[in-house]
Amino acid sequence: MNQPAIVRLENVTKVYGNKTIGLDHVTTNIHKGEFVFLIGASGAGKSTFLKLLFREEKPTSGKIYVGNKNISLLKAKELNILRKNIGVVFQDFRLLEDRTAYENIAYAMEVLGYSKKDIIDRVPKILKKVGMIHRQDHYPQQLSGGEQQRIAIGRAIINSPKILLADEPSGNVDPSTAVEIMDIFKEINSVGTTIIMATHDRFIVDQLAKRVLELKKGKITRDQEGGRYTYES
Amino acid sequence: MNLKKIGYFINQALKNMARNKVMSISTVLTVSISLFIVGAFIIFILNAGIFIKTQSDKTQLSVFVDTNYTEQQALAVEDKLKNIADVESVTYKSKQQAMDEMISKQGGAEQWKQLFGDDNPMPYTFIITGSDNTKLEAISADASKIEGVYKVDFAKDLVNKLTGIVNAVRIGGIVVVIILFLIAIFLISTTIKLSLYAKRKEIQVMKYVGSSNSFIQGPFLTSGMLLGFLGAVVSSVVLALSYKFSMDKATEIQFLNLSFNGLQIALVVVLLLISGIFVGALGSYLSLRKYLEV
Repeated sequence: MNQPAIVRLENVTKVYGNKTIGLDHVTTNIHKGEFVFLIGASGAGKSTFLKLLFREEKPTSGKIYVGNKNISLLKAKELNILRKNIGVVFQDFRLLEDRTAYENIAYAMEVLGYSKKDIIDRVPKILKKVGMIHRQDHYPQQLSGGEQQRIAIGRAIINSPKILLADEPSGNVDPSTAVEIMDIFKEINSVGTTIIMATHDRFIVDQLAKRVLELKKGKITRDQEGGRYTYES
Repeated sequence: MNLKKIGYFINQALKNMARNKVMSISTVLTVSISLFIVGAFIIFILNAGIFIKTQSDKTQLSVFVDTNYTEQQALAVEDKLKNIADVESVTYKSKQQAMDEMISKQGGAEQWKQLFGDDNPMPYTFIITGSDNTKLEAISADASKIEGVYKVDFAKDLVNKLTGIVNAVRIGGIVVVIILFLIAIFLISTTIKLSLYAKRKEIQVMKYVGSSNSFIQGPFLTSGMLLGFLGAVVSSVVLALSYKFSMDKATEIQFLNLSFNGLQIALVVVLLLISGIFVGALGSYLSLRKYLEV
């Protein structure tokens, strides 16, 4: 990869308050436009890795660079700049139940200070991108898991972030829906967005054949380009 | 900070309050009761101060001569009074003058006639003017020693007593005011905590998409300030009305020498409004700091 590193971890360790080790001296680079799978057993440090990147958590030691910024040094009021450039998608979608699909995305734009005109203009485009325009007036409860995840992805990309983090995005959907959701991620990736995805989904990892970072007890035990879920030499 | 953003904050703040009506109303009422007491306290202290000042500025004292003395014996006292240091002038007031003065002030000439017939129970009085009000105590002490003087009256006694009372009220009042402020702050912070809880999912979304902190906190801070402000408005209205009413009463009592003072109540109202907003801001700030994770 000739692209500059967009994410750089230097000897990063995260120990939680209860002495649980999240990450243990991790050093790695992720380049602009890459699609990276984080795999490993539960508790191996996948979620910690993601949380550190958008400063949900702070590292205990080591440095984390996003772009050229050491994000451990960001002050609370500067965090929003980091987060505007990083989209996040969760396994449990985290949509607002009392708002429709359309309103969920519109709300995110509203709280970012977009004008009404921008919102009316942009929300349908995003809904089309994630294939949900026909369901825009439905509430999350009326939507399937896969549909909810599409909305959540739509919400995560309203700022056209440079990096999209996904924590088990296909964990709550059936296998065929998972494939459809991966197609959306692939498309987002194809326009240059860096994607870092924690997953347990063997099928997806094997099918996409992207870079795989395997974590075990907070350490990177494998970093393989075009890797599969299970290591084979 | 632009107008659009402030409009958004106020809009959101009103929605927060509407969502939590009972809590919001009881908070506004508690704040208004607290601020009313604060305002009433300030007005009391101010007016007590004014009253004490006018009393202690008086440089006169009254000396009463034994009523069994003949007028001639009484007049003999006058020379002795004039000899006291720092006495500037001594004015004699006969029994008849004293009686006339009292009747003109208080009325009731008929009743006096019925009670005392032609007798005049009023004492012979000398009004002494001292060179300045700090000398009155010494003059009073000297005058009391003169034979035939049975009583010396001067405002200082009253002033001392009043000052004691006012000081006690001031100390007690400050303690009460602090407690009331703490209660108001606590209630506002609890109300904000509830709104934060009600909107926790929205807050999470705002955080993830990268809303600025001011955008996330603004509506809650505005809610708190609005609650405080509304409480202050309610207390100001009630206080201004009570002030008008009690000053109208006070004016009737000449001795008090107090009257309605528009500037005074205006200042207190401004102070209450600022306090209300401040208490609201502080209450919500405390909740935001404690419960809002960034």
